[in-house]
Amino acid sequence: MLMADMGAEIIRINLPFQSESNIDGIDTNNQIWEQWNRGQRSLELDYTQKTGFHALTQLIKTSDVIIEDWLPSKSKSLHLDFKTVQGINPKLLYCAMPPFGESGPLSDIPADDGIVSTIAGIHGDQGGKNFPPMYVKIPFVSYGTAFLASFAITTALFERESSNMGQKIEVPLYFGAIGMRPQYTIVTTNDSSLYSQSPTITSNSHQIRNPVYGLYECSDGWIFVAAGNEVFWGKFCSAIKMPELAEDKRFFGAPWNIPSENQAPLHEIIKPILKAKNKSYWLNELSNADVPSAPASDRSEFLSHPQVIHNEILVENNNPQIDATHQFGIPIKMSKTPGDIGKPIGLKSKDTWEILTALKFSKPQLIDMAQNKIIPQENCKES
Amino acid sequence: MSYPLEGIKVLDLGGYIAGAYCGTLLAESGADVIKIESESGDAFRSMGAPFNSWNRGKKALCLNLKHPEGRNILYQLVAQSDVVNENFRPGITHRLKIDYDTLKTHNPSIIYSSVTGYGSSGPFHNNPAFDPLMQAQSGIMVDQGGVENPPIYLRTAVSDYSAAILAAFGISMALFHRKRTGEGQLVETNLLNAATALQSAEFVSINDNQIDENHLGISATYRFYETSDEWIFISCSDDLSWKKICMFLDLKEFVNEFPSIKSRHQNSHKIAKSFSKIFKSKTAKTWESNLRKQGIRTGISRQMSEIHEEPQAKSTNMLTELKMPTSDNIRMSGLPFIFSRTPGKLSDVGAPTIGQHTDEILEGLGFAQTAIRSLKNKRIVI
Repeated sequence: MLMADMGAEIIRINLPFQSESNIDGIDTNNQIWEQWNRGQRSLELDYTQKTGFHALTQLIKTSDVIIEDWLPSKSKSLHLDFKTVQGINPKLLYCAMPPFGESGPLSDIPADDGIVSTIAGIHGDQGGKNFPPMYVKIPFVSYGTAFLASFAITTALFERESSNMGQKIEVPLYFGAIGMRPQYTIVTTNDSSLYSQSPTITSNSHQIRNPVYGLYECSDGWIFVAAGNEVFWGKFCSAIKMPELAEDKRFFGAPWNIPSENQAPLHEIIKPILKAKNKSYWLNELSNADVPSAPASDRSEFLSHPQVIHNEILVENNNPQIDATHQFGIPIKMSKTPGDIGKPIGLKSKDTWEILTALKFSKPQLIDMAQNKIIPQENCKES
Repeated sequence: MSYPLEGIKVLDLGGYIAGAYCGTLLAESGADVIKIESESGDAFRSMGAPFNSWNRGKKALCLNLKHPEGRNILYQLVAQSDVVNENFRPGITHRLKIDYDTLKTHNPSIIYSSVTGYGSSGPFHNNPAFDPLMQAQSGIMVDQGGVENPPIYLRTAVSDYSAAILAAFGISMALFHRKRTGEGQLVETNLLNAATALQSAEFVSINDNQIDENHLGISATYRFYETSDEWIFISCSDDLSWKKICMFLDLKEFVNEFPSIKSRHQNSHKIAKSFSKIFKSKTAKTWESNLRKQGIRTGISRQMSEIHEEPQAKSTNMLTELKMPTSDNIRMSGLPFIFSRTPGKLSDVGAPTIGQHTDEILEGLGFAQTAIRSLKNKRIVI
């Protein structure tokens, strides 16, 4: 989707009868399919059959990039591993996005976002050391991996403009998990407990990172205060009318290096102050004092956020095939090449005949393929 | 060519995570990245070792951009560079006269990447922003906490990292476009868009039918279970995995009792109760190895710092050790991608100190030693 928004012609290749998602909690109806695949065309093709594989070969010859997320053993058994594909088109960029890697002891272990995030420590770190893991609801590992892959593919496309040569790019989900929080992998040679788990105030560690960077409850709900540098810390002390805190030796090093034994006392000083007034009072006071802060809102409130509307990041849905009020906009604004969100993808069989006809398959050939269930019938509905 | 972005020169005015990490991704793709800081330096230097995650692989120049002579040095560098990357608060680049329109006059084909909190225009654009503010406003914290519970803060700066990676993606697209047309451009992204991108599915399908599994997962078939020692995650939502796990756990009757995703969803608590009891009986390692033999997706909960003990990470060059000039060496993750022909470029030293390469960079611009000394005396460079 990210590359289609920016003008790449994407063909999504679907095996017949393949289900799009088998994880519950994620809708398997048209909404998410349309969201993530907009601007793409769809080809339904049984490339496990000889004629189907031949058709895919023709496509590979005329394409720049192939993206897959199979286990390495599966790409080999499909005869679609990098070596084979390189033999078909040496200029092709082959992007593999397996769960753990193209090699290594876990490479052929089936896994999804939940499993990879578990092994990478996403949920374990969220829960805190010596506490139960806490499941992180947004699948940010999958998203991060998709962003990293888009970046890696584009750098390889850039390089190929000069070298005229293809290559393989690997961006496993496991790498995406690390790439979204590399600082938590850090250990020093003589101290293995650096930074990653330091919930000094365990009872509040799901609300705050430190006493001046965390969620606070006001009389009518929660706000986040982010005094993320020394200047903001000073402004925060003034905004809550406690300028003496900035001079208090116990809290020197704020925001990031307050001695751990002094964090809880500071938290206890701030809590009742913020609790005494409502959210809008504090948001207003903090904003006037130029202290970064924001309310904790739910998704439906966010839809009407004036900046969301201004950024056109959640635009009115114009796709009749999605039963939704909004769809995601384009996250990157490029002044010369802005891109657009393209047409709906529609059914997974939709463009099959058109794509194959463009590859010079004749009508009798296509009819024959349809009869052998390698492709759907012409003008067919969802198979 | 050895690296995908070999020969590309980047001036990195970015700080914190959203700006700085973008520069490191470009450096790890082979670009020459100069981190430019004021005398006070990137505010996240105070974070200590984590600073290396966002700044390894760069050279460092300390430059006073408020002084006309300092600005002129930047202009000279811009004339020789391909990319400028910044994440100042909107307005500051104009005040410093280092905004896109100004820099374009020194190098018309420059690619200028700007990462802001809310955007470069619009009603909130002037507000200061940090990652958790986007988590808070976009619904991530309320969603994580669950209905009627306090919101929960994610210990990962998800919108910072996403914005940094999206910016790097935008820059490489702009480089590609420039290679074909000669045209430079302005590339903008922001934390608000990034936080939205991380929920692009959730926003088209706002559903509240997720089951509260006490923060252990989103249903009985996709959650953590406690074993006799550690916690293990089970993913068996689809029909095939469901059959396999029921047979394996000796719960054959469940196969027909809850044959569809919908029926399993509706009876999540009942299923979780049975599963919880069974999983308590053996160790996590025993479950992991036995379930994997059945082809069921599973994994034992870890902390991320345990990655150094993980055989998979060791075998795929995901780990590295950085030499530190003033402290102990640190071990951490390596590159987040692998290229077969033009491998990424992994630094073997940590992030540069403020102005570590000032002399070298100024010499490269043709400044004589005496001129450099004079600039230092005036604190235009350090």
